[in-house]
Amino acid sequence: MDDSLSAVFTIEGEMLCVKGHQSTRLIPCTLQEVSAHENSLFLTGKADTRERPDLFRFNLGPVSGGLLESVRMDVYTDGERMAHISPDVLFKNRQPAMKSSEAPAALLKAERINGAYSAAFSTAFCMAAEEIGGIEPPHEVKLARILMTEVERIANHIHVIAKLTEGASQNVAAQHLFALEERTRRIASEHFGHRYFFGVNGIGALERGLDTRSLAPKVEGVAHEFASIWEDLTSSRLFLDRLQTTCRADYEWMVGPAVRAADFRYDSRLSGYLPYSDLSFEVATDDTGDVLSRALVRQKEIEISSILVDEVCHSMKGAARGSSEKVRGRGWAVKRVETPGGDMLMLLGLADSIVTDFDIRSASAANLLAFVQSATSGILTDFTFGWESFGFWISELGGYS
Amino acid sequence: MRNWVLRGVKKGRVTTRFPYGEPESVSPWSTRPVRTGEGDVTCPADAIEDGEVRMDRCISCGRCSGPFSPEGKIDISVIGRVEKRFRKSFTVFVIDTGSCGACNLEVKTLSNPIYDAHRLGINFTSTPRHADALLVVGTLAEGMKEPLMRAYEAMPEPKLVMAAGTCAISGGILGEGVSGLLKADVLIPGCPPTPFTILDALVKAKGGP
Ligand code: SF4
Ligand code: SF4
Repeated sequence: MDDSLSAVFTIEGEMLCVKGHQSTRLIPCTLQEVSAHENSLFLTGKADTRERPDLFRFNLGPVSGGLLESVRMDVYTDGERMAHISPDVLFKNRQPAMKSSEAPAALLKAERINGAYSAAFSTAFCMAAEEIGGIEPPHEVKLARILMTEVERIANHIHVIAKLTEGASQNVAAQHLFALEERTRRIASEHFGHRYFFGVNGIGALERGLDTRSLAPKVEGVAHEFASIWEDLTSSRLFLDRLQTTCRADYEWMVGPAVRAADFRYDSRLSGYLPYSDLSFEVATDDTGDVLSRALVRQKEIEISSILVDEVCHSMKGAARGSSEKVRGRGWAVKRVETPGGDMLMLLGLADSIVTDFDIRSASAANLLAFVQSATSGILTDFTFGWESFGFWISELGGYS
Repeated sequence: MRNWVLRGVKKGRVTTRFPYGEPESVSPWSTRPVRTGEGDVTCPADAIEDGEVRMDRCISCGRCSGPFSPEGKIDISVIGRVEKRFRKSFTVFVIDTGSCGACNLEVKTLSNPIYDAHRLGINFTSTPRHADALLVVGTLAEGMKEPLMRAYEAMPEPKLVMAAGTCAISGGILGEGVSGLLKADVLIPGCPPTPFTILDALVKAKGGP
């Protein structure tokens, strides 16, 4: 196998060019793909590191309190205003060895690219492998994937709002939210055997049997408690003032809660990669594009996800355990899945169950430039709010070997 | 303000009794799998040797389920050194050398009111200069080797090194572990280790609650 022929995403005119080991495929290019491509200029921080004598440069990271992951930011300030931010996200670039792995082993690596979004990543991987192998997973497996990705969305949205609340020094509310996030992870552990859904998804099957009987009321309980915390939280003028008008981003090329907060109805769940059209799925939007709007979209999505979980649990008859199927044949597929941070694109190439090509365009890659642009001209203390409100994960930025 | 006080009173105590009582929740597949049935197993992490699971390699994937079942015990860490001087006050600096983010989340969870590590004298610091222990999460990415060593060298003596998660211990299926650069005194297995497992290891490393 010629490893130099790795799969890459490039933009050619209006097409997204995916160059793989076997061939090259052009697919219509979305604004999101263009933005992710342009973002690659910023990913290493090399885009703009020239000295600016008129500005003061802060170096943040690669290891700093407040940020959960290792990332370096060069923040250029003019007084208290941020004039420019240059992120370098490649300090912790792990480059997991995907190529030459057997598909079931590569699936375990794919779900560990971003542990917080593992259900979404494993779902994308399985769907791509199933398309290549001509495998139609049972309907119950598709429903189980909705359950996992929606519970994952709830946990992550609560986490983001807890971080914003912590940033706004609403410490009591923040601790209630962090405790609620923990309650959600325990629900995942009870029903899926793992707090982050590791090892559940399989190609054409579920690797573990699921008992979904009491899942819905527990998830509803979380959504209910969240709604009540949110009500009290938003009665605080202090909290609202800190979030309102902060880091406004209204770019159509963003993904996830960020683009929906700018009143664009873009959500890859609408594309029907899983049977969302059988459920009362609706796209939550808001219209201001600031940190508060992004929090409001997440707040509405927690409610919507809880309704989806309830509907799926009622239509599901329990999912039996199977084992990942062997993927025969060769080819490749590109799949989109709506992670809690937004639309993620995964490319997978397989030749008789061996991975030949792998790459992703993550939500964090698509939104990074929007953060940089929206935070610029804000004041230094806006940084945390801008960063947390997009829900970035550095783990999903980087390369694969 | 009144609402928050009432909410707190209504909720009552949420903090775990652990380590004075049993953990209230155990994530099954983050504990040690033990053989409970017949049948062959292919472990994707080569963690099974002579019928026993090596927790330094196990990635908590559950692919061995059937012949193996999770033991359900959270005290699975290897405590190679205990530093009793840290018993009353233990300050930990966390460094992510290449994680998927889940280990980071589990460590962060220890500060929430359910685990409340502070009640046991455990605190997290954002500078290695104030740290008693370096808690490493993730595989050892090339770009993090220098920041890791600089953090270690900046810490005052005595200091402990702890590797949390299979990635940090052995690299698991994703890369190499921290042992190429530093010898870890405490190994906290699991992918990710559950908050109870991490808390148990921290308490034991400082010589007790
Ligand atoms: S849980 Fe996974 S890694 Fe651990 S022993 Fe079982 S098969 Fe191996
Ligand atoms: S040990 Fe598991 S959870 Fe922790 S960083 Fe590695 S893959 Fe993620």
